[in-house]
Amino acid sequence: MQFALSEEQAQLQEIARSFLADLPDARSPSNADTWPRIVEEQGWPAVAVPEEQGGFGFGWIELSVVFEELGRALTSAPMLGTGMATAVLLESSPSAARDQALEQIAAGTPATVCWDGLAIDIAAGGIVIRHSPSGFELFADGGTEATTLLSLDETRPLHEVSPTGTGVALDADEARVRARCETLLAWECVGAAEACMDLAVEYAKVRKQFAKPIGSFQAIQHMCADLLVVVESARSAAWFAAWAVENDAPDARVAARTAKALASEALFTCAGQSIQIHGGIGFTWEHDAHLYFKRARANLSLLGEPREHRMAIANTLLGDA
Amino acid sequence: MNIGVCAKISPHADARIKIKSDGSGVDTKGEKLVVGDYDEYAVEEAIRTKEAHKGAVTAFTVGATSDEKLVRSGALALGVDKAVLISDDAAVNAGPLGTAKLLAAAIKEAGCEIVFTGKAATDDGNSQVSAMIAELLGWAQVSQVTKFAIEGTSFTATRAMDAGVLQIVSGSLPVVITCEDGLNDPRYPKLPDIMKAKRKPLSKIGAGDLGLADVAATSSESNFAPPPPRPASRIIEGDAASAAQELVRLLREEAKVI
Repeated sequence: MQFALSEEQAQLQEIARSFLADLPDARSPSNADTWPRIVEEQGWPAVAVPEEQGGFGFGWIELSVVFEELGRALTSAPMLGTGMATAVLLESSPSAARDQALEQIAAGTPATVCWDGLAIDIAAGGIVIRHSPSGFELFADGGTEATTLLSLDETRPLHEVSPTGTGVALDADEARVRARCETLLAWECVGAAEACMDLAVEYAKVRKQFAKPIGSFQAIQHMCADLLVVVESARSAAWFAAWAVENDAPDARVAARTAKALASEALFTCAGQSIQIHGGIGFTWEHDAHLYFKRARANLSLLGEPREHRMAIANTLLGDA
Repeated sequence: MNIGVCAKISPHADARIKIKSDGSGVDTKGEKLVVGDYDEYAVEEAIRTKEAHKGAVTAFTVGATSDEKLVRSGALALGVDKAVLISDDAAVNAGPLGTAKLLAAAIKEAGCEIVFTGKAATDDGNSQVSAMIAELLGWAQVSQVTKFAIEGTSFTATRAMDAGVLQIVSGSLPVVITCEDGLNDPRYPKLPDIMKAKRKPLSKIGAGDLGLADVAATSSESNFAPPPPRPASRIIEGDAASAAQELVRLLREEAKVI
């Protein structure tokens, strides 16, 4: 299979990277400008929303391109929550409530999905979709209350969400929704992992010890080479997952689980090794390395730990063997 | 309003400029090419003028046939309505005056009432073409514009002069506005606009189509060379008073800058 971005998708990637690099302080959840600028200047929440609901009508490949760059920039904007909510709505049967929620998302209302009582990307006036063993419930006009928890990842706080009203039931298939959410998270991890690798490699080229750049030492070279291997492995898995969910491939869920497991581990490895390569400067508040590391740890757990996905993949592949 | 904008495809401002082996110019092979930095301001101002006063924007480019893709992504995807790419051999080899003749002829044929250009191209930085277009069309030109407004058929432009002095110029259309850094904040294209740009009209023409036979450069450039490598930094030791004295001595006797 030949897999390459189309000219337009490549352009989208380039624009997303430049746009996010130009956004000031996009990592701070308290920055009120980030989300409106993303909505007004790029319209990313609308990417996968159908044109009938005011969206752009593109799919999970285009969204994946955006999520790689969101991860690279470590933005705090509620895009992952909004992407997950879009997945639930798109996988639900059409209804007035579902269509209205998609219209709101396309117009820039942030949204999120609350899994097991916990949610990222809670925003005032935002849409909340609550998952419970009985399915998904849509709360588009309030009906939930959220308590911010002490979170490891300061760029993306976690919230405990409880319903205070009645939501609208949605009939989305959980496995299909999870495959789409895992794919987006995998792409965010790929982008962030590559950012960690790039930071480490650049530093290794300029930091000198014994009058030589540390990148000339074999131990550092091996570390950097290993980072490239995990980033590229994760990227390949994430591409296949994006293609599989976009094309409703029978193994889409396995592909998405694989991508999520590999990419979140790749990010954790790259974020950790980046700190090691940076040495002392790598664990200062002033350096970005700790922000990536905390996002990496949080993303390992978000939507299931890698070991849970591996177990599920094994069960799917081996069946009752 | 019929608005024109000139957009030259040049190496990205962050490109590592390479000189051709014979020293005849800049080697753009393998370089990332884009609509030039100052031309981006011109494109943005043209679109903002359309948004404020209605009408249509036409982009004019003199360049290679392969520039089509970049004109689509760097102008049509942003909100420019159509483009004219002047791209035969004569056009590619035109110097500043030839380029201005081609652009002026195309602008005249399109019936534009106002034309925006960048202050200078990112590659050669000649800053000649805008003034030449205005002269050839018999229009006014306002250079180094950092603020611009139109009311009816009149315009007001603020020019950035030397030493931070601003000059406010008023006049009537038609006019060539040469855009300076700070005039606006160029937008990024959105995904649907990137797709729409593929279908927007772009006509490829040659010098002959504009009735211009000879636009070849009247001057030639040679002996391009990279700047000499920067010498290593020097740290001046000692207390502040003696270090300052030594710094002044070095600036005066070695660097000869004071």
